[in-house]
Amino acid sequence: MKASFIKNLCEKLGESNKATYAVVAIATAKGIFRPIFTMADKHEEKETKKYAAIREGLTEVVAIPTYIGVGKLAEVVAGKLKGLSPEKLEVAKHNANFIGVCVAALFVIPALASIVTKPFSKKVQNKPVQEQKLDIKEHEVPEVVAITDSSLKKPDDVKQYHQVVTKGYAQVKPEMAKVGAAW
Amino acid sequence: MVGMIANFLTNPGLANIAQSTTSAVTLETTMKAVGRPSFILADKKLDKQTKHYAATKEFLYQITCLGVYMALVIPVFKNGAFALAKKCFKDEKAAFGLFKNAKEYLTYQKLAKMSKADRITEIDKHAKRYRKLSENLKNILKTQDKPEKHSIVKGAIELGNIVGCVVGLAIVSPQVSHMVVHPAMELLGFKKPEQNIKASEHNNLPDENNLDLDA
Repeated sequence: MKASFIKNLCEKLGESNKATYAVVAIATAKGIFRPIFTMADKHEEKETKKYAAIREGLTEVVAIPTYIGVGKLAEVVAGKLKGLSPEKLEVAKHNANFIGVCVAALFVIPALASIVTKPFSKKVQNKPVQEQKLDIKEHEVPEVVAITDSSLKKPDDVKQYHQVVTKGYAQVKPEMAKVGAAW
Repeated sequence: MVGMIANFLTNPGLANIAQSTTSAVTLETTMKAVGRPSFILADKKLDKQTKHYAATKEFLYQITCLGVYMALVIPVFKNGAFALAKKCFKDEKAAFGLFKNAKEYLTYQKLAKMSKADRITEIDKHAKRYRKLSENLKNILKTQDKPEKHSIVKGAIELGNIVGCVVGLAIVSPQVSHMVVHPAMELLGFKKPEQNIKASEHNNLPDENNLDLDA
């Protein structure tokens, strides 16, 4: 069963091998593996990884139908050429498919991916700011200990610290915070 | 104008490239390596430093992909698929048995597409180039009007190439480029643009201007 499927596939590829097949296969694999590799990176922050992985996945989701669509569109356009013999028309369609794939890779996909991922990127970009505020509330007590123990010796610093607590961390410059992963 | 387009689209050279996964992927990656950095450099919204950084990084990434693909994937998967298919498709022994390896088949296939007269001239004129082609195959190509194309052999090689593309470009290349691109950027004297570092640190987000265009 498996062998006959592979054999049929080989026969079909041997008769006509379109550029779309390879690029769609590559895009599918990239859509699966790139987010996995990104999420497995231990050196990156969790939020960064999530953002990068979803962006990579989305780009490939956009790429697959675009490769197929632009390739097919190029074939249709080439099919309208007049004065060619049926064999030459078939060659023209095949070559047009390849050119369509190149155009998709160079122009259409980067443009579409940018449009699709932009609203999502904006949504994610806002998220860490809210999380920073939440983190600060969670670490309020340890930070009080850390700041008073280590560096807040001068009266000015204590005043700054009170400003931090009363106004909220988000309004205070990052340089003022001595401890805290959120910064 | 239409005639020119028709001539271009029916060009046999282009048809050969489009029919071969290896040539198509190589050409596409080369175009990406040249085209994408050019588009980044042409972007008027980005500052000069960011543009140079992103364009160089994109160029190095695509070149690494191309290098991995050409050096590792093409020879391994092309010949591997041929050998595997020869072993697995026992009922196609007649087709696979004619050829020693994938290279011999591809040479045969290239000649088989030509007209009989052109084929004979080509083999006689470039005897040195075709010295590795077996006498049996030379005989078939010189005597038959339409030599058998053995699609199953071509299909097996192409399937191997597609699997090779997937493994090479989606799995191996990102890992290799991860190891190569950053040291290469440092060696070339590129530092991550200051503005982007600040932005990404504040938002805990990756660099937006670092245009990850890879698709």
